[in-house]
Amino acid sequence: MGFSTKTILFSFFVGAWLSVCPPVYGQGSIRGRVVDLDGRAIPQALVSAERFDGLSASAVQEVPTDANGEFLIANVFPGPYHVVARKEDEGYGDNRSGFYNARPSPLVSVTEAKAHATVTVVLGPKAAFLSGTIVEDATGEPAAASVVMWRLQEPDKPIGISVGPNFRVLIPSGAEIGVKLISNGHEAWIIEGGSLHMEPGASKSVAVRLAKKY
Amino acid sequence: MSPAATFMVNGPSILQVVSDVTQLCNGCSATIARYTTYQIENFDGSSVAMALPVCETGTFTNYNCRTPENLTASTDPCTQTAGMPAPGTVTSSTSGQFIDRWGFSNDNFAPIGCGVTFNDHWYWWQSADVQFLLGSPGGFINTNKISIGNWATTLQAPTGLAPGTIIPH
Repeated sequence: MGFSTKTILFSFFVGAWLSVCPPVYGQGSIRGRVVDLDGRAIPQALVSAERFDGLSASAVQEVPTDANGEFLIANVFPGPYHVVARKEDEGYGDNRSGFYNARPSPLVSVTEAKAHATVTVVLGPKAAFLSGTIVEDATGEPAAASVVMWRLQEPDKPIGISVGPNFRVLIPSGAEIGVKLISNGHEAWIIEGGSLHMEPGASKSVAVRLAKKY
Repeated sequence: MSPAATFMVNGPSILQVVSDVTQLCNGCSATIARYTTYQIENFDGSSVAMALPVCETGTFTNYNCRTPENLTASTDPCTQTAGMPAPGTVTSSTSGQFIDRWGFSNDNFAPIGCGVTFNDHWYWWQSADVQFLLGSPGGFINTNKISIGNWATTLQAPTGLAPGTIIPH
């Protein structure tokens, strides 16, 4: 599977003209392995390379790991990349922001001189699962909302995930995680006790009723 | 006179939101990124259940960050790039979904709140000459606020596009 995001250099000056430089063709690759905290391979994880410089407005091209946890991202353009992985159905959230995983996503550099990078991506610990239903309290109609979560030690680093009336999200395990649901025009719904502390692989279900804000 | 025939024209033509995540960008302490997962749907509203090449055309305007002076932007243009084994596209998952990432990639863009307007159009790439419009999720990308289709999120108010939202053409 190719990784064909093109990088274009825009130069902005007073008076707003811009120049577009032709992209350098992507002849590089990133090869590696995705493992858990004990070094065991994680098959069928999804892996992507996200540029670490500039602005990104592009699709995330993911490749799956094989039975040995190995992957190959081909056609990579020169540049610095974070290598991101996830396998959410087994409790491995993505390692983009450090919210779910103990280790940050590794940073690799692909250059014309060194076009083929290798890397090991470590995921874990496994997260827990929070699932539930959302209805509007007054009408009982199904509703959508955003699940906002944050580590209590890092309240300034939340993550917001939009969900439908039947939802399932990952909750980082082994830590106190604040959880609330917000929806425009409604009062915020806060998890009982204000936070969750869950073990890896554990699950919890909630029935959310969103009260209108007056 | 020949009997009348009914033609049903169907095919990929709709972008529907599956999920919308707002969080800090990778390794960042202040700059946010937004990951919107789209389902490609056919004209009749059924989900595409195959891997499809997709591409985008977009223009960046009104860049107002003081540093860096030059903006490097990654997109997936519909034009063929010489030397590439495939068209200038990415491929959706086999269930017809892809994740669109918007945001600056690090904390180096200043001052906080600066950014750029992005006029974006996603296409189903059928051939070098033929692409079909799926949706136009235009908006702006600032360091601390990202708007997709007039729906803005911040770290403090990360209420994203609701699942099921159709991105207008």
